[in-house]
Amino acid sequence: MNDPNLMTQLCATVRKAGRIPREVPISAETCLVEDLRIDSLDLFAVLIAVQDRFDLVIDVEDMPDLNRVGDLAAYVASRRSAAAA
Amino acid sequence: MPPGGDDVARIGRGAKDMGRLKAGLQKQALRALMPLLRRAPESLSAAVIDGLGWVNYRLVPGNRAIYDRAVERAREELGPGLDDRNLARRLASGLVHWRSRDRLLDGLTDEQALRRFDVEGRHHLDHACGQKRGVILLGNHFGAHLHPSHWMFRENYPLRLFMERPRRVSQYMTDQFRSEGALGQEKLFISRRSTPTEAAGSILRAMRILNAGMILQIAGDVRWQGAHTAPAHFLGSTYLFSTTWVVLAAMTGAPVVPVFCRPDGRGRYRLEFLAPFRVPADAPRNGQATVYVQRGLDAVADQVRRHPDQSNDYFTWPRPEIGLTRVA
Repeated sequence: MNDPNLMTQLCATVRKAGRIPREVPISAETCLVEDLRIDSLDLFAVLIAVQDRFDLVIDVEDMPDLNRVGDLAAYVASRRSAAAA
Repeated sequence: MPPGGDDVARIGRGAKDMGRLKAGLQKQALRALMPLLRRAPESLSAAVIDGLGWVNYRLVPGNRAIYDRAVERAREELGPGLDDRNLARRLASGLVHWRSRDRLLDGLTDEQALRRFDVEGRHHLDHACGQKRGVILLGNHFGAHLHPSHWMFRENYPLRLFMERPRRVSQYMTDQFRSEGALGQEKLFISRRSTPTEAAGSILRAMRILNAGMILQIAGDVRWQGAHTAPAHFLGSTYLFSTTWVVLAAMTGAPVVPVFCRPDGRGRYRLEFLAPFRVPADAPRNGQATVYVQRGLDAVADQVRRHPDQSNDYFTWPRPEIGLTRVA
């Protein structure tokens, strides 16, 4: 996933929905749960915000693979590609 | 908030006294008697369960003191006017009934089972369903707390439970739990061992249940700790409670219908649906979650005041956590 614009938007969405303080860095390598220390309801809020922001539906069965912000970005990119095809 | 990963470790494990109650004999007796109780006239079954409560209170060493402490606490919190002469024994009977879950209704036809319910406020439920926004059925641990689900399955309402999988329930209910797929029940059950990711997935599923116009039952009296909680006053003390149902109601616009059910002591069940209400979309963000959590708890407390023998384990809850005050 090499779309810096998408990554920027995604990091901002995660930060806002997950209520992550400014001083906590978020990058593609950041683990949503372990690094950001968000609980299940915040993670739910993040997923809903990503769905709304990028106009897609996250399949619950895919969630175990969405551990890092980069995984989420790749997922969004692949869903966009699939929708555009 | 449904349990997930480390979240689980923070949950109060429930009442210490409840854990000390010697229920093994009672469970075995129930298991052995259940086939007979199911075939017996409903009033006789109720009388036998009442008798098991008496045995549990009178004859099982140690239990009596626990029930007596619960009654003492009930008197503190409900006032000195409480008629507590037989409350400890009736509380013991209520707990036997609580532990029998809905198994007395197994093997009955829909017609036979439904005939055992006296239902009030069904129009509230139907009105909420008619709005096509999904419905949050706000449950609790008062009285016969699994019977609303049993009744709704028998009546073919599109119900899903957002809770831990209840154990030792009727075969009928177990069969209802077998629905699979995106809107099925199987994957909606919450596990105390689930990770935050799995728990978030469960909430996402719950939201999709509501968005599909279905009914989601979730308990409003789940004590919790952490970010997504709100303090609420309940039976004389202030505890932290999960706000998950408030968040789901706010995000989906689904009307919330509180429900209560209790056995009448003669083998029948009084099922009551209260008037629906809505949670504004911005309530969780503007600090209003506590208002709705309190509203749900007030409804439970009202039932407990009217039927203290159906309070199950409420009067054995540990005193409030550090930082929360006990209310006079």
